[in-house]
Amino acid sequence: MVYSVFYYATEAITRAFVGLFLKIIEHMKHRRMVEEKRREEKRPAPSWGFFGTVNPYGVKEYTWIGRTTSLKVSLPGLIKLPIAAHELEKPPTRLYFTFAEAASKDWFKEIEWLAEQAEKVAKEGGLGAA
Amino acid sequence: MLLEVILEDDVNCPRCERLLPVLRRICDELNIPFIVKLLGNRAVAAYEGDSASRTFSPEWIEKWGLKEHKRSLKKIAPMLTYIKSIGAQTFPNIVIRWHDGIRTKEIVIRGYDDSDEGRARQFAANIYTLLKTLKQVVYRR
Repeated sequence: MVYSVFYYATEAITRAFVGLFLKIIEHMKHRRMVEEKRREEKRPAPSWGFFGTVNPYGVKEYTWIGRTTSLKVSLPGLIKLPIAAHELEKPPTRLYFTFAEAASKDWFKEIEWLAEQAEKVAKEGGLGAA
Repeated sequence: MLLEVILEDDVNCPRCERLLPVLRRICDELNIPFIVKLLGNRAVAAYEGDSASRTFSPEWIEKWGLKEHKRSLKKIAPMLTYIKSIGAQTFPNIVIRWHDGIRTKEIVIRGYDDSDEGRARQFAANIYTLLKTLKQVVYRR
């Protein structure tokens, strides 16, 4: 009798422990599972508005197609005009003077001296000031 | 071929107003393009690294300034206060720009003061001589 009581008690405790252990494992597995996201419904392709197009001459254009009217307008894309004089590859060399310097009689000597310095720096392979 | 004279001007600057006819006359005589640049809020003058450095006062920037003004206000607030206290002006600036075949070069002259007539005359003579020499260099004449 005593033996069977101990036996059943031990078995019940063991079952409880094993059951708990299995439940924990199951819970961890469940947590790892990734829920599938809802897919967003794709918008229908626009039937009106601005569309980027290429005309038969190979130039990019923007075409406006009307919503309720059968309006169709083509606008040429903006082109950046290459103007050589306005696009500076390197920043220009600048010499700064105050009014007092510019109004003195020795101003040109000063300019010459500064230009010589700039040339020297350029020859020595500095920042290329001249 | 590039040789031009740019006057960076401000509407509220009396010295700019007096310098303008002098430069215009010199440039007309030498047939050199002369441009007057009236600098607004966003413009950056030849002497400035930032448009905010000319915009009057910290209070003005705080109230009306653009985003870039406000961003750089912390750094330059003491300088602005100092400029305001001594009444310093950054105008007029004369920018003489030319291209000598290799690259663009600039001479920037800041300020103009015609209180001493002899000095002002010497200044005009210097500018005239410089522009004449540069014209010979640029146009090979």
